[in-house]
Amino acid sequence: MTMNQLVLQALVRVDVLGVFIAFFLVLLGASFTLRGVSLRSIPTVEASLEAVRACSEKGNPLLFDTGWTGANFWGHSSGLTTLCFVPATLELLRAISRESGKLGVRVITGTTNAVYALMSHDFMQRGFAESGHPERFIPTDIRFYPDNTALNLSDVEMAHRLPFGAAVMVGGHNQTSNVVIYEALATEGAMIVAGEIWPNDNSMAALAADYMSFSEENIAIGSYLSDDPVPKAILAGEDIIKVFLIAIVIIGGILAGAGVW
Amino acid sequence: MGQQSQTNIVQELPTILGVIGLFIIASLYWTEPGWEGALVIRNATTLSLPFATIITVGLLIRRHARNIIRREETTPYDAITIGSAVLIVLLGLVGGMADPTMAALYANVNVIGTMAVISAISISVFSPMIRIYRAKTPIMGFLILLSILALFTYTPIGEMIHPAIPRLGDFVQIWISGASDSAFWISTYIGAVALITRMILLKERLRP
Repeated sequence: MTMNQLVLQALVRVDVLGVFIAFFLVLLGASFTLRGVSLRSIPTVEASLEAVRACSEKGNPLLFDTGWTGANFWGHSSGLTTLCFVPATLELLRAISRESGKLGVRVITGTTNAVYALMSHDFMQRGFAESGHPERFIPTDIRFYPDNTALNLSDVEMAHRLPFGAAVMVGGHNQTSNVVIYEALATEGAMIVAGEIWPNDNSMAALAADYMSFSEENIAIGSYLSDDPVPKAILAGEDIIKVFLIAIVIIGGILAGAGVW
Repeated sequence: MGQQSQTNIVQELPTILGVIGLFIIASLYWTEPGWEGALVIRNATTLSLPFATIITVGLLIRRHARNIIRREETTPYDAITIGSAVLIVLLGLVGGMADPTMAALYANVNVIGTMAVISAISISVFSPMIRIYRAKTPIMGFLILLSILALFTYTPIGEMIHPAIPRLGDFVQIWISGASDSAFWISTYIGAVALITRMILLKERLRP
């Protein structure tokens, strides 16, 4: 590798760090300047709570399945991306557990990540405790399968046997295998709320789900569920970055089209 | 007051440790070939994951054992799950992953399971596609049209109907889907940075 290539490689890496720091500073600034901003509600949260109510009416349990999303630290992009889902999806699980505790709905979870299964225990237990019915929390309803295939087959088996009244599948499933679960749920008439990390998985959700959300929304669930104005201000700050990037794309497109650059 | 702040720090410890660990491991992106400390922490964390797996496998076996004791209707399924789990665990303890029996069994079971899921995918995909004709929204109707276009693009039938069809499909795939995919990931990554910002400010927690 020549010196020029090494310098170029170093610049690219510094560039990545620079972009991260710039984004961070903008968002940090937004946490002060945009406090008090009101945000529209997102379908994922409302639909998830509606799913609990649907289960209550039907008298059936709710499936909360995150696939292989979880606390991965293996140190490449997909690990870090899925890690970002941990706080968000767990906050949603707590909110669902709180609502389920009030209405007497059983929540059954599924994951292929052992750490996530243990963390789910804490968040579910807290949610049921907040509902005033801690006795309705069933620890053995947190289901862990070390393999995605086993989780899929187990979900499908339960979808037909129990069946589920509704399902919230927010997370990451393996290369469109989620459609097998969606199909089993749809066949049994379950309400499906789905939002996946990967675009190809989300296209499967679009085919089968009653409510679909995108990964960007799912990451932000914790902010929507919080009464704290700071997370909401940071969320609104994302729009500043987006406007900036869209402007760059448009201006760059015009300049490239005009042959200037 | 002092006791309260001490309690708060203890409550926030998992998140603080999470953020520190995240930054140390993320530093591997902008250091080449990666500094020793970050690599050690990453490897140590990876090595610790099996401990969590052992606990949860124990919980898995306990749940199915309870079902058998209670004589639930799922007893055959529970028995197979416990039997296979115990067998694999014992084989793994005796001979490790390199044991030929273990390797052959694991590979064969895995193949059968994967085949079952892939077969189910290929069958299941058609069903929601057909159901979408009773579509709930115009957007979902548009999606099924694109799915049909993709089917015609990547099978000979599209070319047989008209050569323009696969070209249109390629255009959608390269330009529209490509741009959409980029937008999807860029917005996700901006959201991820925002989430990290909230974690640093202790507004998102790894413990309830």
